Amino acid sequence: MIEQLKLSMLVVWLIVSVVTLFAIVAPIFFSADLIKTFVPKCEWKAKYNKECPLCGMTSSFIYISHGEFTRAYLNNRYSIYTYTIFMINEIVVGLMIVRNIKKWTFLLREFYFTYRKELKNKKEISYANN
Amino acid sequence: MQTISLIWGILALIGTIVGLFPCFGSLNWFNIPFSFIGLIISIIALSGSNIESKSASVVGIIFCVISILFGIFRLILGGGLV
Repeated sequence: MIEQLKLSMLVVWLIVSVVTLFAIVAPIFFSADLIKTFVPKCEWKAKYNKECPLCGMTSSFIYISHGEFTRAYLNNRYSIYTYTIFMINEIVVGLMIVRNIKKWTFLLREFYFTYRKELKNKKEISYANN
Repeated sequence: MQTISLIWGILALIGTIVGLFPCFGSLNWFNIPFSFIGLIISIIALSGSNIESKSASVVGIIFCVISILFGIFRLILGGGLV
């Protein structure tokens, strides 16, 4: 169970990192208007005219990617911390991938061949039964 | 299959937590079907496993059920229905 949990957490971490990487990289490659069309409008703002902790985060990320840190801070004061955490996370994930790429490739190959072997054995057994 | 169900459950739970933010209320429209698929996978994993290695799929089922219930509750509360 512990091994499964470790593997699961690793996979989840990698998937979450891909999402956060997209959040960091998207403002560089896509225009601000295009990004804002995909981001949902805040319900608190629409219903109660109150700002939630994530309000202005998209604009702030766009400002940060263009180097305008003051405007980003004024839009959302947590944005710089969030961006920094995302960046550190990406660096750690990148280093981990570089370190373990050989090991993971080997494990994947092992898994693939074992799975293929098992599948072949199962097929042979079912043919023999028929 | 056991590990996949556990991964699916954790991802569903993360989706639910993110969906609790007012901006991402509509994420539950995606997260509930996602959790439902996870629940099916976890049940298949549970039925296909032996007694000793059931815990991962059980945890997957629990996480997916929590995600579905919280997602529905969140959508009823508002922030995703509009």
